[in-house]
Amino acid sequence: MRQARVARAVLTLFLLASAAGCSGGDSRRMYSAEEAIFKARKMNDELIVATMNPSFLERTTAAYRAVVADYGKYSDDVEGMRELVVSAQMELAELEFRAGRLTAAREDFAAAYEMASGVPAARANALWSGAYIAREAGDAAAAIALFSRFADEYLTAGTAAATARMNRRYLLTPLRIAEMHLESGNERDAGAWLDRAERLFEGIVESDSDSSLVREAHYNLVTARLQGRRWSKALDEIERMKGIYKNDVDSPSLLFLEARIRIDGFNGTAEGLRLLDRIAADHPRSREAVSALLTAGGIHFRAREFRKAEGLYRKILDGYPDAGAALAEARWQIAQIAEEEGRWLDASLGYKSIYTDFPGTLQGMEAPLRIARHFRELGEAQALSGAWEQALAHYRKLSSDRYNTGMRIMAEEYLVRALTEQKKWKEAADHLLGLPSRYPDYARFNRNCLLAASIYEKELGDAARAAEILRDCAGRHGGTDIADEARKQLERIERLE
Amino acid sequence: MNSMIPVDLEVMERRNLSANFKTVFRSIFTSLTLIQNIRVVAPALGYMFLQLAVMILYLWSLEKPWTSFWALFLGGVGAGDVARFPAHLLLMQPILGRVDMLLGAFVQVIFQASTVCLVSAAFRRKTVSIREATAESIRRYPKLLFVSLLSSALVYAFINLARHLSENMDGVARMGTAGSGVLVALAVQTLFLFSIPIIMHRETPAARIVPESFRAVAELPIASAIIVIVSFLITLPTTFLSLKAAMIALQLSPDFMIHSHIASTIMEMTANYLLMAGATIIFIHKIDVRRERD
Repeated sequence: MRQARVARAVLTLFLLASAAGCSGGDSRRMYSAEEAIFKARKMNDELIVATMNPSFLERTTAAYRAVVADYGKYSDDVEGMRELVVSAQMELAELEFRAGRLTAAREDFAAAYEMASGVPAARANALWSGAYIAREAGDAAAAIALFSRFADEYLTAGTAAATARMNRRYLLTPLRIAEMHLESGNERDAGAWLDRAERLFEGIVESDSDSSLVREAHYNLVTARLQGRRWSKALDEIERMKGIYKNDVDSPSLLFLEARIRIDGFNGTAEGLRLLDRIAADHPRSREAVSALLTAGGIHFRAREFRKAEGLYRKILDGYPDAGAALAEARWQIAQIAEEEGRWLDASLGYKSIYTDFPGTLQGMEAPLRIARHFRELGEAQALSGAWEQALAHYRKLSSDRYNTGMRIMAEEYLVRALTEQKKWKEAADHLLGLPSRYPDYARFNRNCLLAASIYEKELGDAARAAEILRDCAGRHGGTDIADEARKQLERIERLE
Repeated sequence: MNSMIPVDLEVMERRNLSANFKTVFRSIFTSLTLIQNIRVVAPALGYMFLQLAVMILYLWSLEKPWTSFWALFLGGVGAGDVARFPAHLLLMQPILGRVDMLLGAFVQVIFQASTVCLVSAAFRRKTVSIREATAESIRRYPKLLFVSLLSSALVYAFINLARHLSENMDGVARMGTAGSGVLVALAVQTLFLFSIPIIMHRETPAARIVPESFRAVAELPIASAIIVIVSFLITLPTTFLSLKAAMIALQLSPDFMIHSHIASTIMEMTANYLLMAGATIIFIHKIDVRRERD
């Protein structure tokens, strides 16, 4: 009897537990959804280690899609479910973008925008990201449409401050739109958006928003006026800012902006130089001091006042040993002055010292090509051959594993440039094709197949190999604009054949 | 007496390390051979299943009031946290650790006493049913609860005192202080080693159980300490694993917390059985026999 009682008690306990488990439908659903998104995120993290392995990428995107498909239908019923599903959709879109699948990423951001009606931050992010990707993909019309929708929805007088709290960069949206209109030659719409940008920033400046937002709005307002070449109004705003921001950070910034306006807007080179000189003299430790010296040096260089220019560049070398890329630029300019004055030995020593001391800078990358081009212009074949060899060795060294990825990528791009300038087409094309597998996280290299195919077709006259590369390219980057372009090129080649 | 261990009581045995090891080894070996009679391990297995049932109950209960109940065991945690993934699994270890402490103090002692009863009977080649052993344990529950609460309180107090003292220390000093808490807790466990066999074998008044256990330990201090340390060492790998379990779970899968908990429970059951059975055998064979002879 006692055993039976114990058995009954245990059974009751388990039934209670089961009841607790089963009755908690919403909790259990939420728990399962959290478990599913956790697993998807874990795969997402591991994807970086797996260097974007295609099958692993497919599994990860499938895991995110499963979260959206399985739990999206409970968004209205279960508390917190909408946020979770929107997060999954956003992460999926970001993953697609990282993988270079721009079309899929845009579609996924659009889907996230639709489903994030109750999650303002995610909705804004989805819309803005979609616009950004459209711009990256070269679809200016779609980018303008999406950015415009963003501005209409989130950058009105009543919503701008809240939008700025989400992400300050959202405030620059009207400027981006104006920039895209300018790029496409549509000055009328560009002007309209610059007006709108000005109104937006003026509104924030006049509002009682927090001081850092107002300060940023002041600078954005100046940027908008500079972009619209409204020089006088920009100067007015700077004068106004000078009265408000009198600290050591803002004063040189405002002086520098004023100098740029005087030089670019009013041909006031002398006044500009005076302001730049004032920055270097009165605010020598400011961020703008080195820029002021470089800008002033550039003005003197263009005026062929080489001694004055060199004096300013030498000030940078002597006074700012930690100026990094500015040091490379100063040395580059000094070498250029030597070249302009016909002192090639000094110039070549200068270029060599740049690529030895500043290998990771743009000037460090350019220097070997500059030396080679000089010998090409002189027609000195032997010296040219030696210069090319040195350039290739330099880029190969910088693309080795002991340098950081950014430098390696830049070196690889210069290596291709060096090969193409030597007309070593096959070597250049093959090198281009090898880069995506070596830098799987650098999406831009995914387009290399298009360039390599073009080299094979146009420079090497090997349409069959070009077609083969394009076929592989379309298969490898299925669902992306690269695949679309590859198929288009392939059809064209096949028609020609 | 027709026992499995020959009687070799000598005064020197108390100080002879190898003799003490031999005693412990024989008691453990005998404990293992007694497993042939599955009833002997039934209480230990029963308690393990109870712990696993609690774990299953925890895993299934994601809704209030269950989550509120579990949250009670951990300060600073709300019912909502307990219902979330992966927090639900990551919090399982500290929450069930506290539940186990309560179960250990109030319930486990009945299972341990039943083990003592069944091991004694098997060692003496008598037949006692699980029901009889449990009934006998329940009959003596007040005394069992008294020693259980006392020893648990002391162990808890010493470990927490060491933890508190080591909070503001660094490096070796911190490890040393925290380690000394564990050593003191082991010493307390050793001093109470024979309290359950004493309750189950003798009609000792509650007030005299602890002193009698101390006296019994004093007769075989090294062997008593060794058997406690051996059972402690058995649980050590899973204890270390549980210290890093949350980190491993986040790296591998949160389900690892379940595997870690099951592994800890099994090792704890093994260590507990060997401790209780070994202590009972030493108690019957060395201490009780000596007492009867004296």
